[in-house]
Amino acid sequence: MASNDEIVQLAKRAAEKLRINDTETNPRGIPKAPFIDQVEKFVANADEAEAMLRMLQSMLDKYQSMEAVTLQKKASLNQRVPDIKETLQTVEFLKEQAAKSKSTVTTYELDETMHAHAQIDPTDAVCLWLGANVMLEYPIDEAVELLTERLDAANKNLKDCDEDLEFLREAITTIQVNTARVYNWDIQRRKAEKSRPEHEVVT
Amino acid sequence: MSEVSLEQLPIQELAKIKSSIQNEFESLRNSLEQLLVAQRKFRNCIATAQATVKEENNGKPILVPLTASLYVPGKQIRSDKVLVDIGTGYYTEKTLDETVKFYQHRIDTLDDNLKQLEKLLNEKSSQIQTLDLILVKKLQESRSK
Amino acid sequence: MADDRRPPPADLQRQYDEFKSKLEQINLKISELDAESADHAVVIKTLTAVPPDRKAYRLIGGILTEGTVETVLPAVKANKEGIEKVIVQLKSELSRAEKDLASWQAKHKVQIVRDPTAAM
Repeated sequence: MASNDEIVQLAKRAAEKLRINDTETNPRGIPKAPFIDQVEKFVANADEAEAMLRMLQSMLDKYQSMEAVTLQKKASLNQRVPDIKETLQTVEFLKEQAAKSKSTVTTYELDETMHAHAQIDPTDAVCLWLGANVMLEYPIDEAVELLTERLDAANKNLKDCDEDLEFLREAITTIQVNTARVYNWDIQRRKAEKSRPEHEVVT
Repeated sequence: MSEVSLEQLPIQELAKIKSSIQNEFESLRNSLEQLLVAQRKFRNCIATAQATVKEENNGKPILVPLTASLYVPGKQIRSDKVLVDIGTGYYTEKTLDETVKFYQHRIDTLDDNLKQLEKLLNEKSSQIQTLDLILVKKLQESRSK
Repeated sequence: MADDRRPPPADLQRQYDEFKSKLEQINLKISELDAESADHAVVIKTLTAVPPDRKAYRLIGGILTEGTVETVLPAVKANKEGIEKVIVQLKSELSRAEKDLASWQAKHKVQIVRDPTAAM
């Protein structure tokens, strides 16, 4: 049985055989998973099988962790988009009100279960939270522009996330299928060796 | 749970019982925490109301939060009343006195629940102590065999 | 030739779990701080693109203070630097914890095996 170092070397050669480094990538640089159509083309014996399985496992780990990260990104975007939309709509409404010289009467949250009344007279500036405990005043038109930009960017990011997730799902399935096929090939090989005549010695 | 029957149980059984009582204790403690948090929130509401719900605040300028990230300059109006969530999303207008009474009543109700929880927690705690004593005794007995 | 000082398997598993959990905690803190630092970077970029006399507000300990971009920007930059310093410290803590795990592994000749029942 080969040592750990030898397996690592074999795994490197397996990666080269599969031409992992010159596969296509998706727009965000995620490499496409290579498909092992005929196991014998890439694996010749027990040690190479183990090396291949290990390499496949590490590819699977990478894809799965990319999937987890992308899911997180998607969840956080899904949280932010409604707020940006609502903020944009509100600012546009205030702009209209100002144009008509109308005041707005509204309620606002004083505390979790308490609301108070306020009046908003026609204004030409609003304040937007930037994050990091900072709020910035914006002329209304600039605010509309900024929020529209942000909304478009967030929606595009969501689209990219969904594309990436689909791509990753495909890659993960491919690797899983590869793993099953190499594993089964190895099982077949062992059965074949067992049925050899006894006087033959197998290394 | 009479002590006589407990003493007759094997160590493993006792350990299982102890662990299940400890779980109950933990979840009771969590409930207690939650009630304390709720009380704190209600006290906050009272303080906020006392600071803002005044006739003389009418017309005072404030930054009004319209969304999670949008604040707009405005002014307080109808500042002698406030809208309070009385449950299931219904809000009623209340004066400062009515508001304080409302939240104080909620705090007092929680006080009753808290007292009951504390009693239960003390019971569980002493049950665990009893079990511990028996367990220690049994371990010593089995070691000296 | 058994190593008499080798702790029983259950203890080893527990020790490994503790190492793992510590590494996870540090990693989690680092990603949280990375996100905060990224937030600060975006804010700094936004503030720099705007006239310095624009009104700006900072929330400090629950109190909103009014100022201008000129006065707020340096504070945000200083904050970000503070966060980066902590990230550096955490990263060195992380590598120390990883070294501890590696030497523990070597000392007790532990092999980390993937759970065979976990989904492939």
